[in-house]
Amino acid sequence: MNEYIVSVMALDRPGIVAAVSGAISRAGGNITHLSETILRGYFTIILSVEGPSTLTSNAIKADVESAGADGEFQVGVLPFHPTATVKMQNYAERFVLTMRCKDRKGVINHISHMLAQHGINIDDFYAYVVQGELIMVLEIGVTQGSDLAAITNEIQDFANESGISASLQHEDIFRATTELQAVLRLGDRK
Amino acid sequence: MPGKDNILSTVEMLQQEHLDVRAVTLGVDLFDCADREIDTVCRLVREKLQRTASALVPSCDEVSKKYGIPVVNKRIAISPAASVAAGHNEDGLRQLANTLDETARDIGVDFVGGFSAMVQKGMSSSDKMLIQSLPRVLSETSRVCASVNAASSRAGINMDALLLLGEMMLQAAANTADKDGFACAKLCIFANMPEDNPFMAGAVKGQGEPEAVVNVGVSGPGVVKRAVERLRQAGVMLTLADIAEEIKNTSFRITRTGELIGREVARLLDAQFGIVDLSLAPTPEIGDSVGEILNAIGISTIGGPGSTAALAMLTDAVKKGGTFASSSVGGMSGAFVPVAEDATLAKAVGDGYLTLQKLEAMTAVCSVGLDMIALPGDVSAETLAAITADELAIGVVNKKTTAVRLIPVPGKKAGETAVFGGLFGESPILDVLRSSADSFVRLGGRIPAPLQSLVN
Repeated sequence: MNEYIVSVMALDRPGIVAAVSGAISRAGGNITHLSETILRGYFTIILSVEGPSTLTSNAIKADVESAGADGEFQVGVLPFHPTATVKMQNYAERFVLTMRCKDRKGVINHISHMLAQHGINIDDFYAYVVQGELIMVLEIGVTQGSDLAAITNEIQDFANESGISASLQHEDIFRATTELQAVLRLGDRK
Repeated sequence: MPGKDNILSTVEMLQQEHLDVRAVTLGVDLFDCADREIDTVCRLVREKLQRTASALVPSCDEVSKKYGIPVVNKRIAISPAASVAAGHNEDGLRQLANTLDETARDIGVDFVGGFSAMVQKGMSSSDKMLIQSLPRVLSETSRVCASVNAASSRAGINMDALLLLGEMMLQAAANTADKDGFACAKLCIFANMPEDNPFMAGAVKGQGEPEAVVNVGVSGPGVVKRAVERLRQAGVMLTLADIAEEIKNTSFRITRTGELIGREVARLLDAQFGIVDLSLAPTPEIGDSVGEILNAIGISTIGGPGSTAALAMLTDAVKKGGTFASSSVGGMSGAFVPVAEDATLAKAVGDGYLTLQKLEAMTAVCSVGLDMIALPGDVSAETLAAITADELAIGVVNKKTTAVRLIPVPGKKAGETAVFGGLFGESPILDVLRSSADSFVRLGGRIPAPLQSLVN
């Protein structure tokens, strides 16, 4: 059995998921995971597809591209590597970094570079500008042995120098205040 | 992981709306420190507190950093001192109080509660000795807090204890006349005293509690006020039920925060997690006031018409949200109206809207009671006992906790200002009706427990 990770980007319209999933189905693939989002009118989807050993990445790419109008879908296909999920499970804890500042060039680059230097992976990143203010929410996985105090200090120093309001907090505070599950059970993660 | 909007609103709640954990209080059992020699008692108490509570402050700091939530006060509550030091004289009790004061300072906690006695049905000689030691204990130490349970729904009201306490309050106030009688701010007199209360001055480690237990007091007047304001500014048609619902939801989130912090601190200390006390505890800071919540609900001046009903709705909504959020809710859990500690309430007193009588009515529907009330310095012990008895009667009859923290301010009259400083705030001195209850109080004995049936 072959497994692939497929991404599709396009100008949003009704029917893209139907077209993409139809093409994958006709190629003999089965979608096992899917995440879709729309950003400023542009559609993007990432899927995990499994299929027979005869299913190739080129075939998937060609079939999905042909499911849209000429040049409508930008498609990428990578073979799935099973160690990816193992890596994710190595996270000791997850933290949320929220930042707000006046929008300007280079903030996202600076913060992501800082995290990369500490070997911290950004699992999820959401940023938007409202009335000239840049708001960022980053979910990061902190592995065992990461120097959280050093990271926190570095973020705070950068925030103070740049007039940014920043906070790094363990994810459980957000889960506790929004999920119905008892606080006692928050540790029982999947 | 919650949605982005939820994350951002939680961050806003933490950073801009004064959400903090007001008190993490570690209850420590001290009954195993009792001894005939007071030196031994003090040594055992010091050793036990150092052993059990030294990690309290570092643990709170660690958890606070992890979740980005300030823990404002770290405190210790001990088993009632009247029992721990039973049989010792006033000098012995003062020695114990000094030991507690010094140990609390060394550990880095701001208060240690539990210099307490349970006298609702009668005073033992040890209880009486403890009460008689209070004027010196409360004026000679800075961190020791005292409390006395002088009434309960099952025992009635111990008027002998209240008169003695009235006399001791006057002496304690006189001993700290240069600080407007501040010693009395560290004494709380209860009806139906909770044994798991994390808030000072009334925190004590009750007899039915574990060896070491972490109880948490959440704050949140600022958060609740902003939630109500936001709802009103949204421009949609609202009814009181919408306001109550919003308060309930906010209380849920506040309570969850408290439980998360409390459980983690307890785990680090190898102590049992006890309860979250839902009480909205104000500070003198602007934006952190129960009075301002009532303003936001639509009561223009606290003490004016509608104040009691609005406070009842607030307290009930807080309890409903909190009890849904956690199965470990306890302590006093309501809304505090400590006059000196709440700038809006203090102002309402100064403006003449909030009187002792109206406060008494308001405390019938909330916790805790007549709290941080500055009174004229020439008030008599009998009058103090009578005012206290009035408030405790509300608790006894309604099967709820009520507490009294009255501060007779030496040399000052109604309308002048008493200044206590810090979290204790300041307040205009309230007027006391010049009517004598001396003959009633001096009858002494006990007001019998109220009937538990025919409850209409």
